[in-house]
Amino acid sequence: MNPFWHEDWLQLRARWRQWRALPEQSLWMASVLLMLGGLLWWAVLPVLRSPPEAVRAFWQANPRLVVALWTVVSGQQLWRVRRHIGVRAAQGWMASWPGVAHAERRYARAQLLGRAIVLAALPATLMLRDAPQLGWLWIAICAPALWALLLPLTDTASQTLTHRRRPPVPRPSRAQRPARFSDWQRAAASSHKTARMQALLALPALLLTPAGMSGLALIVSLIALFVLSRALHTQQVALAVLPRAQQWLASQPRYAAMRRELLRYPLWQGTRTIVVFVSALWLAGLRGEVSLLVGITLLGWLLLHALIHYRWRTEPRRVGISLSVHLVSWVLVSQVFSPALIPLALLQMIHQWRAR
Amino acid sequence: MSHPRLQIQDLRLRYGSRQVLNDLHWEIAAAQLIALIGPNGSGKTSLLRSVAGSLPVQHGSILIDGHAAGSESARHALGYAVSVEVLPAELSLSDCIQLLAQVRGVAGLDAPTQALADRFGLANWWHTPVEACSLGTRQKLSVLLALLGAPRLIVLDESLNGLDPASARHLKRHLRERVDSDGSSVILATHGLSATERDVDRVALLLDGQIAHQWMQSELCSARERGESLEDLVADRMEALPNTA
Repeated sequence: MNPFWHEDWLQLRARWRQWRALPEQSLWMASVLLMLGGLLWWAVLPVLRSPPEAVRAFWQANPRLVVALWTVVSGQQLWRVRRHIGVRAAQGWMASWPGVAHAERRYARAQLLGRAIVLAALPATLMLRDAPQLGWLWIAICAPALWALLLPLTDTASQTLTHRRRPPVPRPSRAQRPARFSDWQRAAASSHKTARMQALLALPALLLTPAGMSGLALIVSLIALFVLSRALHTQQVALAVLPRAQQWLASQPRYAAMRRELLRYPLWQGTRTIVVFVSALWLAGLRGEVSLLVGITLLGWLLLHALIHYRWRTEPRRVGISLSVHLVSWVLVSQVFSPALIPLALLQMIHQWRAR
Repeated sequence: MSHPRLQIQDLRLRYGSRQVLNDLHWEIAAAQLIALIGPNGSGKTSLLRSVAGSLPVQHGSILIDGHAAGSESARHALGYAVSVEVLPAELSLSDCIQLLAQVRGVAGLDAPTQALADRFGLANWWHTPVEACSLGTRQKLSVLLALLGAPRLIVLDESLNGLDPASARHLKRHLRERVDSDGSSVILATHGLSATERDVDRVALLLDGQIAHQWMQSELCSARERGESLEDLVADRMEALPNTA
């Protein structure tokens, strides 16, 4: 058996055992899966059955542009997968095993083909119905498969080097003053920033925009949302420093005061980001009270996450409380934002739970 | 009234169904350099983390200079070398020392500790982020952080691991000087018996959740004269116990 598949299988089995050992968490994950299924049935399937008129019109007018964008986006997605596999092979525990290069190539090819099929299903499902320009459509469907065939041939050694996190360089202004806890949090956040190429993922969403001022407002909102998601991710990384800091400093004097200090930076930065975001939404035409509600919800979300990291993350017996906090957070998202954001919120929560 | 540097009474610690520490009693006087040894998984790190106040005491008591472990006074009296994994990877070595110096209310490393840092060969590493340092360099940083603020009880958990022989020797000399000059006490958890047995005042063996035996330096000397090493003594003691044989 291919050692990469074998390792995947062992990890899955270990995770399954963890789920059985933590019934609260298993219940939570099962409810999430149930909700995702419900959401797919209720919100996503109807959209897939009848693609929005704007998409169809744009496709008819600019098939070349759409296919070009789609090729870039799918290539970028698959390239990330390829790079991840390459790094795993070069830096993982199997790196020195005999025959690992051949096994890695076969594993990469299978993984990429699987993902290419999923990617190709999107244009096929969304645009096949009543779609003209069939020639271009076939190119859009074939592009991910082409990437999947080409990418396993690439050299992973150079990619492995680029994957390594660049250590933060001390800034000259820092030399003049003593270090602060916020420096640690800022350095952690900046070292986790992902490639800006990911902004390309937002481009297909822009294709949905109608002409005129309403379209401009939508573009501004989308950009604001993208910037906000990046900024909130940064805040999360800064908050995730808390458990490490607690482990490091637990035996030191003034421990309680330090923990408060560690909270200050992410909360202040986060609040500032949210205020700017809400103002952008308001300028883009969202009603004042709705903007305010969005701001309050985001602030609540930030505080809840801070609470989880600050108090409960290191104590497994508090999992139940943490779960309810996540559930409240989910309800807030579903009530205030568009249902389309629910999958994103759920995926983010699942990701966070798995990281524990 | 003078208190022992460390006094542990009736300490019990349980992880789920597994009893790690079981009615443990231990007392350490001032100016003592003690090696704590024991098999893998015997609870050395759990014991030291309890002393450091980062694991709550489930049963019994731990007093550092008469103050309960985890209290503000006990934290001031203690220097604990944390595992290198929890050091802030993104900060430089000097940043880490500055941060902790602020926390402990001191200006930085005192002269003897700065001299130890120089002997460690850290001069070119001060502005390097922890994540870019080798395991040995991180270990040295962890030790320096534990020595910051002249603590009266220094707890080093496997801190000799990853150190080159010269650095390990400098560290042991530094600890001996501290113990002899200002009356600090040191607990050094280690598996390197032969590397430490001549440098310590006492060796304590943790077995079955208790301090099963302690050898004074005089006993170790006698054993050496008989041609027995500490490894032999420990192995004999472990084999004498029915559940470890």
